[in-house]
Amino acid sequence: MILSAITLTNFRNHAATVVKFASGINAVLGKNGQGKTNLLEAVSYVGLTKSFYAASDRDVLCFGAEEFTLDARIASDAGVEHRVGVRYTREPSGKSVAVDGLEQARLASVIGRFPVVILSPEHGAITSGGPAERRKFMDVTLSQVAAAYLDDAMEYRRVLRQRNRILSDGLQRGPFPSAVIEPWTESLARYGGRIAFRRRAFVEEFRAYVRDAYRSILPLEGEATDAEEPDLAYECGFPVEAETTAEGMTDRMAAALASRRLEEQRRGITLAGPHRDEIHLTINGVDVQHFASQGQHKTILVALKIAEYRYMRERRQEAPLLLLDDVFSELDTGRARRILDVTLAMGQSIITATDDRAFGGSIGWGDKNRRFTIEHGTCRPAA
Amino acid sequence: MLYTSEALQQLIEEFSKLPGIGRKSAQRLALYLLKQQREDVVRMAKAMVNLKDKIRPCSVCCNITEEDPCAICSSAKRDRSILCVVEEPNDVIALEKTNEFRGLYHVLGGSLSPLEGIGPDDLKVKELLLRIDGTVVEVILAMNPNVEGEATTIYLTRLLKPLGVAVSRLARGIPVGGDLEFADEATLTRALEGRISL
Repeated sequence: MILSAITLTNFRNHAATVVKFASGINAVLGKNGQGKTNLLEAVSYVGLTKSFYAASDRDVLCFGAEEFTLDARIASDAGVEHRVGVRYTREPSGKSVAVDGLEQARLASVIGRFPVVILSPEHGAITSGGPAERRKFMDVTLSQVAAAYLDDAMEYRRVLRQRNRILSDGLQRGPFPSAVIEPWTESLARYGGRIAFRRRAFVEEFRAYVRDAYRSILPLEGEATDAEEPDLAYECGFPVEAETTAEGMTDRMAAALASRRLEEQRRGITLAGPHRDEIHLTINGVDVQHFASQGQHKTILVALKIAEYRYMRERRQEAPLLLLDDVFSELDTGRARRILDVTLAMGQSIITATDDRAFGGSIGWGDKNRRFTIEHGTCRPAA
Repeated sequence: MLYTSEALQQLIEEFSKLPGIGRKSAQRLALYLLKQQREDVVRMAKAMVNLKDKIRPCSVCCNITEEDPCAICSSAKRDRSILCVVEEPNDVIALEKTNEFRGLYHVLGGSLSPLEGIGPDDLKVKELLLRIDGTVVEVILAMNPNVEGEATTIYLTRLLKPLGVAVSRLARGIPVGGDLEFADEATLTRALEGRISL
């Protein structure tokens, strides 16, 4: 897809901003605090109906304003033009998304229609943080390729909260009849089995994408990396074997919950399920989270994102929009150059940076690749 | 004080407690009422009080009614062998509009939701079980299609099946008049799961 233009009204520090994007690289340049990331955040609302930061809708509303609106013009790879409008009002608080003028009854139905891949400094946690970060990475990717997965994941989260409440209330008020928790256990296992089944299949497929992407950004000068082989392994949050159906996984999860019933009652929390999944990242068999070098962390993160891009493009038959937030300050120039090379081959991207030095001299700025400057929430094409 | 009248401020605060009404709408409603004839406003206020004074729960189906038992429960034309269990009185109104269902209803008064402190004892479950006395052959569980409705369905199914009645649930899937092409993938997936053999 190509995002041809976006209009921001009262979004963060953008009171009224219109940006017309080029179909290749779009460099958004400016000092810190001028509104570069806010522009990317607005684009993420169009694809994911929310900010890629943990920010709430109220947080991104321009100070003192009653509502913000976004209006995006998008062309699919097949050449079909779409308009996406996002509107949030503060009082009464509510968000709506309209596609081609048609308001969507479920926000979730928009996710995946206009696929985006985002790399921002916070994503460093995917390789260096705990399992929750890697589950989130997997969820964002899978949600954009399979709406049913997103639906299951949202329902699972809700059932889990309900079930945990029964268990934590039990800690305070004493034992409860098993009939009270059983419906939630059955429901949780049904969604959990489906989620685990899809995640396991995803990791199996995704391994090859990550290995290819890692190889394509290596070797960097002066780094002896020829023999480096990254890998991913899925560790399910409940004991599984080679189940071949989602129903089989559901039975496994139900069995795991049954066997831990007493422990759950003692600890007041759900102890088995995909909310405890882990994806182990390794390089040559060595755990990345704890033992990788700074350089390896950065390289494998970029590889994960390139792999995510290629996976989504193949699955959706649609090129995602690539959003790179301030990656050049995080990466050395060698890695940054590799990303640029790959980016040029990929399609449309929006890249924020403090200045255009990181882009080097090799990019032809013009109709295909455009530069913009942002100052105090005003964005204009660079001279 | 923000407003020049305490009466106005009080009404605005009351209105803004209503679902879907923000402060601005509440203000607009209050100022609108101020411009109306006194008798119109009194009629409206009376209607609100009547609502609370005259309406009570039906002792059979737990729906809201002025007469006990309610008109549906006491009608001779209804099929007493089929019971449709719903969450709220609204749902009865919706199903009655179809003119298709000729059985009786049972209004649970909500769905299971531990987060809101609603457990089985807070719903009209005992009242439902008391109604399974041999006359009822089938129970249709018509809960909302969300996780709370689903858990309630599972809970009730486990209670009802041993009593020897047929238990069914509403189908989930493609809306009538909708094109398959435009149904979102999640809805399509559910519709596939809930397919029926022909």
